[in-house]
Formats: sequence, C-alpha cells, structure tokens
Amino acid sequence: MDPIAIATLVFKGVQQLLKAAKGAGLIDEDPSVYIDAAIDYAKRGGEILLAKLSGSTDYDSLTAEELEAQLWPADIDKIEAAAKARIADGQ
Amino acid sequence: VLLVLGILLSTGTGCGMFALTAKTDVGKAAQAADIEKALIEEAMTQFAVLHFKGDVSDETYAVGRSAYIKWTEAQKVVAKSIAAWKRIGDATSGGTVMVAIGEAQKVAGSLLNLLGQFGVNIGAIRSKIGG
Repeated sequence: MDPIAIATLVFKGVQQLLKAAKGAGLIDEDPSVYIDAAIDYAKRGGEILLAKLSGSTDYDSLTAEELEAQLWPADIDKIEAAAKARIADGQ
Repeated sequence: VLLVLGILLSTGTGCGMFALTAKTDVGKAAQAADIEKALIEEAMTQFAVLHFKGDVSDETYAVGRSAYIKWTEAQKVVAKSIAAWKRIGDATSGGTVMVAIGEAQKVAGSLLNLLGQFGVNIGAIRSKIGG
C-alpha cells in the first residue's frame, strides 16, 4: 500500500472516531468538512512528494506558478557557471 | 491540441529521464516544453565547456551564445503561456501555448544545428534526457 493510501486511511479513521464522538455527544461540531480538506491536502502533498522522490515531475499537479518556474530557462550566466564547474570537476 | 502534443512527444522523445506521466493537455504541453528546455540547456552547457577548453573560437561561441539568449526569450513566452493556460484552462489559451512552443522550437532548431556543427553531440543528449 502506498503512503498516500495509508495517510488517507488514517485520516478516515480519525474522521470516524470524531463522528462517533459527536454521536455520543462528546463534541458539538461536525468535523467532517475539516477532515475532508485535510485528506485532500494530504493526498496532493503526498503525490508531489512521491513525484519528487521518484525523480520525475508530476506536471499535472503543478500550479500555474510552479509550471512557470519549472519551464523558466536558465540564463546564460548560469549555463556558463555550470560549464566552468564541469571543467573544474575534470569532466 | 492533443495531436500536436502527440507529435511533439513522439518525435525524438526517447523517455530517458523523462517518464511520460502527464495526463492533462496542460501537463502534456508542460512536459514537452520541459524536455526541450532540458535538451537546449544541456547542449549549451556542453558548448560552453568546449569554448572554455579552447575547442570553440570566441567568434563561434558568440554566435551560439546569442542564439541561446534568443531561445531563452522564446522559452519564457512558453513558460508564461502554459502558466496562463493552467490558470484559465480554455481552448484559446491552449492555442496560444501551441504557437509559443512552435516559435521556441524554430529558434531551438537553429541553435541545436549550430551547436551540433561545433562538436556537441545532440543525439547523445537526446538519448540521455529523452528530448
């Protein structure tokens, strides 16, 4: 089972416990909406984290700002600095 | 849009370090543009190495350097247009992206042709990064 599925199960478990607590009159507010939002955030964060760990980019999950940053070209000074670093490294 | 992306990703895309994972039109366009970007940046870095080692003359390097700077301007338009497409998500934005990618590819083609003539192995870079 992947980490995202495990995290989702944990959140759903907490959700059930809170629902039971509300049913028993131990808490007043319905926490479902907050738990659902937390699950969504956990899923998205987990997907991005897994994509980074696997060395690939999950283009579909990137925001507009992240896409622009990802596709922004390196300026020539950065390219030349990298070239000099390679020479210094003996490549 | 899908047809153009399919062509972009199928012509010379060997899936080296870029696994083709994107599923949305915006994601596929971003992936195609990112592959091209990686190819150009690596080729230019190798060209600069050749220059700093004395294998490429100052005059020739200046031509390549100028072409690279021209490509960065085209690539910035690609980056901005894809970001706009992600925000808006309509067909017009998608069309703008395709035009921007086409313009960047024209400049990239000239640049790669030049770098290839002066000792940069474009084919090897393509194989490595999948571009």
